[in-house]
Amino acid sequence: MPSSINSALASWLAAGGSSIGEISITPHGSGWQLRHHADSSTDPASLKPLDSPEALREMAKWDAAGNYRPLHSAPNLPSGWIASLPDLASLRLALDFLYPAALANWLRWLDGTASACSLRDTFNRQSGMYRVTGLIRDSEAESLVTSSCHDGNCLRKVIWNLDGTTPWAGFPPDKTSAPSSAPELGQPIPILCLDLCPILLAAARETVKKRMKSESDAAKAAEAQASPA
Amino acid sequence: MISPKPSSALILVGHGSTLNPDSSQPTHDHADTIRRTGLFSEVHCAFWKEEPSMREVLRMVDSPEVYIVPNFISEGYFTQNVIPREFGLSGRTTDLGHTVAHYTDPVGIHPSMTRLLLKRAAEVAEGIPLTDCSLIIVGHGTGLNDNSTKAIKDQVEIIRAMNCGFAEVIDAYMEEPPLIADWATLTSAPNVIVVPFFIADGLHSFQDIPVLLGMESEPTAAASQIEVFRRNPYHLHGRQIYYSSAIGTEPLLAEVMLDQIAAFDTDHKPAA
Repeated sequence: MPSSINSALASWLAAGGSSIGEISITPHGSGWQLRHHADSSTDPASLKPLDSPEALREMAKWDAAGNYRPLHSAPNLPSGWIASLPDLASLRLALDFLYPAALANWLRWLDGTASACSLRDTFNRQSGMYRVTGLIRDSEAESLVTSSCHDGNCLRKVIWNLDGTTPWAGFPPDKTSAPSSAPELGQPIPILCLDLCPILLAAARETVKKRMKSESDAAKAAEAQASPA
Repeated sequence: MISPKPSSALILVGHGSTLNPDSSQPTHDHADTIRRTGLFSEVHCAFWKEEPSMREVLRMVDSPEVYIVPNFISEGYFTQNVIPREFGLSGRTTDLGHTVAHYTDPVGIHPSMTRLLLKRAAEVAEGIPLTDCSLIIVGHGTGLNDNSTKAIKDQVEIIRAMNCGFAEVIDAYMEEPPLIADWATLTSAPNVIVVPFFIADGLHSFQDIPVLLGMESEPTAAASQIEVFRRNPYHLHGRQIYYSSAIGTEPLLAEVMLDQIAAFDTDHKPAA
């Protein structure tokens, strides 16, 4: 039976755990205070106060320029706010909103009940408009993944690989490995990617469709050239 | 109202969007409402196009039992193919190892939706006698799946049978006849109430349908990104259109989700 996520979170906090993604967590009375790493030395009085997980969820929906953030692990969480949460339950909810499933992915990975699903397995189970992603070539996949999932776009660690055995050549080792430190050590919570995201799935579809169109256009051109005038 | 389920988690599954910030909001809102009731040990959301994914959300569940409720308007490709596949479901109830999952019908096909439709219609055209109103329930429609229109056709039949006073009650669609673009010839009353049978104020209900109705000449920004909300009525073809936001944004939808869980327990769950 996997350990309770809330009790693991409590152990992590008791060990001084204080960081996930771009967020710092500090004890505050009987509850917790959250702020952006960039605001760690800012006077709290100058930060916008937030008082609920739901308010944090709404804040995290937009980047500093007001653009929609469909990817919560993109390194563009706005700064300039400070959130006070009264208890562990509200902190858990807030973390689930700010970095969806990050806590659960990490803990289930550590206790061995979660595994990563390779790019091939994910693409090959698709149906409908995404079935075509199964036709992506290895070289296209390598190029797409390394240009899409690097730390400048996404803070997640890419634990899945191409086909269960082939690692990504274009990432440093740190980007594709999960730290093994237990919650009781209080190290920063890694944001693990165990299943590739819908943004990459859509991008893979575009990659394959674009190549197929290019091949089709080339075939038509060759046919036209070969035909007698 | 269902009785508390202290050993059960609840997952609301929505489509979500990587482009439209309004797509997942109603699902989150309904989850917030149900979470505050304390009926379930945990309440989570999962999305096809947003985080957490259906695969990820199962890892968030600590409870030995979980109800999975599709926040979808009808049976179709997502409820019958994508959601069961992504969750690894093999039927109504599936033992997933660390938890037992119960898969309910989509929220939009529950009979309680009638109550929400009538409430929305009454609110949007408050003070207008129903006998002077045509009610149009509008959906997407697609030639690919008959189920996509069934939920709407069923509601139209139910509301007609209730004889609640509307001059007429009809269904219309974006992409198949009867087309919503033909609203002026499909209806006869001086006032036309249009309720989009969609889960969220997304691209269809807030951008495409207003253009098809003639209220807008081109698609506007997403609902959350325009400063002035639509003002009813719109005067077109010598008639008044009262356009409602999507039915899925109605706060009472959270109750329909609970009704859907109660229906699951009655119809599919073996007695303990």
